[in-house]
Amino acid sequence: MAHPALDTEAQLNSKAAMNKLVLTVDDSAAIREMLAYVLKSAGHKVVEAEDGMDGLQKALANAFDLVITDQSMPKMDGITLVKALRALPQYKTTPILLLTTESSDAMKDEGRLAGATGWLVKPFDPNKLIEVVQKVTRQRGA
Amino acid sequence: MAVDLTRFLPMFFQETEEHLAAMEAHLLRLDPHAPDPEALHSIFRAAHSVKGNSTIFGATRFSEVMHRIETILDHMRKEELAPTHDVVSVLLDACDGVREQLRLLKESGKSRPEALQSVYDRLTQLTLNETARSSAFGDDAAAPTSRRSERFRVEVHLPSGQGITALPLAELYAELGAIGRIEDFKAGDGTGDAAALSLVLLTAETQDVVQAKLAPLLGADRVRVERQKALPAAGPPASDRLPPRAPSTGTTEYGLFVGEQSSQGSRTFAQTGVFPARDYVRRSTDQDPGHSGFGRRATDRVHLDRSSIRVDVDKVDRLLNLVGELVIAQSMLAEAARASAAGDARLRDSVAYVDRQTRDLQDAVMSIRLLPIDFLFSRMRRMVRDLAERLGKEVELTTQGGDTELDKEIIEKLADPLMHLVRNALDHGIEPPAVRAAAGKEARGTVQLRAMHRGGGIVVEISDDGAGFDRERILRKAQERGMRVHTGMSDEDAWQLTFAPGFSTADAVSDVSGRGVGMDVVKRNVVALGGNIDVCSRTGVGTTITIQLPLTLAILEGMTVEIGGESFIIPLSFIAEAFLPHGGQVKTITSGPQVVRVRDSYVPLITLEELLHIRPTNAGAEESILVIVEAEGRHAALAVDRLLGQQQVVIKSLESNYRKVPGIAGATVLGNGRVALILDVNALMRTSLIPIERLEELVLEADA
Amino acid sequence: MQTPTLSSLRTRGVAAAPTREFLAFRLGAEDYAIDILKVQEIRVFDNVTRLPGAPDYIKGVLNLRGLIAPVLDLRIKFGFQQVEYGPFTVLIVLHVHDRLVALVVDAVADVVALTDDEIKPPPEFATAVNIEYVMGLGARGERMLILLDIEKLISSQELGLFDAEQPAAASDPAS
Repeated sequence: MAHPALDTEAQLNSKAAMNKLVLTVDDSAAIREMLAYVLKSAGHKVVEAEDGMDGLQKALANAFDLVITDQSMPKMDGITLVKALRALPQYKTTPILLLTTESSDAMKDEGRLAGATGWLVKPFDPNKLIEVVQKVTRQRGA
Repeated sequence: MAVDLTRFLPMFFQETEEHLAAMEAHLLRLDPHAPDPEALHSIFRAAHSVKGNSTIFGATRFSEVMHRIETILDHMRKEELAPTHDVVSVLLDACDGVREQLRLLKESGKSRPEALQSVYDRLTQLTLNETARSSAFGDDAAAPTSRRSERFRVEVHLPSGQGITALPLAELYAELGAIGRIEDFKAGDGTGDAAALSLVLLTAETQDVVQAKLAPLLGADRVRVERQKALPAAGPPASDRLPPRAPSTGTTEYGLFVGEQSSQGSRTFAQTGVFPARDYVRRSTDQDPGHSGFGRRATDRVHLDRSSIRVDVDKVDRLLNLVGELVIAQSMLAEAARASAAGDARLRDSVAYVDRQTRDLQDAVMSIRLLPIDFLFSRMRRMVRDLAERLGKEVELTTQGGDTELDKEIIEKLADPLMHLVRNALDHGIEPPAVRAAAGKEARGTVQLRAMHRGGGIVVEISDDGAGFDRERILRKAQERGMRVHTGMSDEDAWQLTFAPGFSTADAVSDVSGRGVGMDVVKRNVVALGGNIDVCSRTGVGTTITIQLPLTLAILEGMTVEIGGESFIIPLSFIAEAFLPHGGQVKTITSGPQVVRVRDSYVPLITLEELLHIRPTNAGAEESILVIVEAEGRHAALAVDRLLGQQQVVIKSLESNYRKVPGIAGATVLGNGRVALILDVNALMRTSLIPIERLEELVLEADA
Repeated sequence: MQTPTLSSLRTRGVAAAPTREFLAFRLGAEDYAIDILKVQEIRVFDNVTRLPGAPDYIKGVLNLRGLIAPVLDLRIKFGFQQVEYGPFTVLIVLHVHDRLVALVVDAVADVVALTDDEIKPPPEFATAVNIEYVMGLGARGERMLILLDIEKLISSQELGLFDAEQPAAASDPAS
């Protein structure tokens, strides 16, 4: 179902780009809800996790097309999660995006080193979120 | 776009408030000599989250203050700065400041960033000040007050060729997640000596426990758990190890590390905030989530229960009401079943089954409203700290049984009385350090808050090792107020005097608690909750105040009685005993009132005719069943026609459609669909009782 | 006779001119009527629990699907001589000022739609009711209905059904 506020351009793109299974990991319920709201209205399915360990466990139990994770969380932070995911064969090439605050250049570097696919600035522009999701999932042939 | 997402703004405000509260709570508990690493981490993360959220509100000042706090926490983490009392004070002030600005922002759409300048400067001072970085970190032999968390390196070695996929990862991660935090992670490729898996675990558990938990999963000989003193090696800065990046042009919304270019988005969001708070204020009338009496939701973020969900308080209340109605409906069903087909076993069994399920459901639903009392205890911490400082006294607040759960409504109503009692303990109880030293006590006094389950209810104790009640002063004040006092009266009776209205022994009305708003109001509030309060004190040694409370307000255990053809409920908590009097037990005093002899003493008979205009059907008290009730330390007898049974009743108010009726505490609906009134035993006793001393005189007269 | 339901009474014809609807009932020898919008339901007079210390015109309280509502007998309040509780005695449950109150009446008649023409100003002569609470007289053929401002009457001080205001818990006078 098209969300009126979002760009129709995103929806005009290939149907195959929609309907991905996305894991969102963030200890802020507000951010999780925002992510879910935007992703779902673009046709994706969303599973939420509230910290890095929760995310890791859910990742083991499912086959996600994409993981979007915050950095600072209880139990396990985002960078560590990326490392743990990349150690699993089924997530070796899965697109993983890090949610970062604007000023964290060092974080972006660490993220890259850990194996993340890219980053997204918090708070995110809904259109940009959809755009980058499309890009990374299409890229990986998902 | 921004307009659509404003629906999330209330959540962000709420979360930010909670983060600030969590920071305060952790800060108050930090041990200056050995701060718990996990606590430091929590404070850091909370500050980081607030910093992040301030971008959303467009409040740059918050972000700067939080950034300073992050830096300070980092120094603490690295043991370069000790969380001494003064340092913690600055941090607490910073939280207060941000919290206040947040409130302004929420209510008016504007904050006053200049108000944070002073606290920002103090924080900056801390990051620069070398002397604050002390060797105030004593050696670990200075026993920390609570178990600190530690870092362990956990390594798993597997036969060559096997990687981590050979491990039971789901169980391993579940086990690790339950006991602590993973700080570092490295998976080997299975070649050579390298560990298949190496991670750093920050946990409050001991090394043995960690080993014991992991060994069964991985094989005792394969897993190594070692203490890791230093923080995980930072290594060369990450940027050195990476190929140079193309310089980014301006701030971008997102970026990919490989392939596609980053987007060249506008800076709008990151710069001005997604939803400037002004917009929020205009819409806030529709979107503000319901607030509980504390201005917070029912779940307290400090006790991060990881498997909980947020539920609107109104929804829970509605659920509770429905269950209450179900209980009534079920008792109607039971009654109807009893009345009809008396021999129908199937019907009886089914009704009994429904009865059990309904009770279980009721218990389960009532437990939703239960909150740990630590919710209240932790509020006291800040107050004790600030007040002790103001009074120039050294006080430590300890708590026990904080996880004891009480109904949310009781907790809310207990807050004020409890706060008042703690203030009293600080103000009048704990002596100034010099006085204590002179008395041979430790300079630092202790106030302890304890909660526990006892006898189907909850007991809350407030104790201090201060000066205790001053008997002479109390007796004197009582006499001044014209109250009955004899020098031989027991300590217990003397302490009871302090519960009289308007009583206060503070000579100088301290702005803290001595304003005559004293123990009488505390007592009234406690009694209104269906509880009672007691004092135990020894001059020079200390005081313990004990409050007893029921588990819940909405339901009470009652005895249904019949008086004059109508059913009434007497709350079981007031009933001491009930019996059929034998000849001579009921005596009439010359002036008219009657008394009942119960073992060695005389108990006045409450005349329900006068008070409630009900007349027992039976001719006289001698023919009636006597129910002995006890309240506020006194006893009385009620004459009733029949005892109908004991049951749990759902309390309904008369005031919602009518008004308060003196002598009646509320109403309930019985199984037969009729309304039964609940007697307000306290009120009945207050209005009709002959003072005990008088009683004895009168009986002696009568006998003579 | 079955207790009339609201819906069963509304089968009369519809008046052409703009009208207001009233529920007509009998108290003693007189016919009264009240704004239908205030009426929630009609019930049998039964199962009323007495309230100690209440004025005589408050018969007690009633269980209305879980809510406790006071039962008011205006016949007693208005000083009628003959007050009986018989098979035709009925309760009108009112929803006024966010509260539920039940009224004891001798019989409920019907729902009457009155146009403005049919409503005359309140009478000069004394009625059992204080003139303050009479909105007017409804004339329909030979019938004279005394139109009560039931909202005003129910919330009046003299009936004393509601507390003027609820005192704060902390300073609640104990006795």
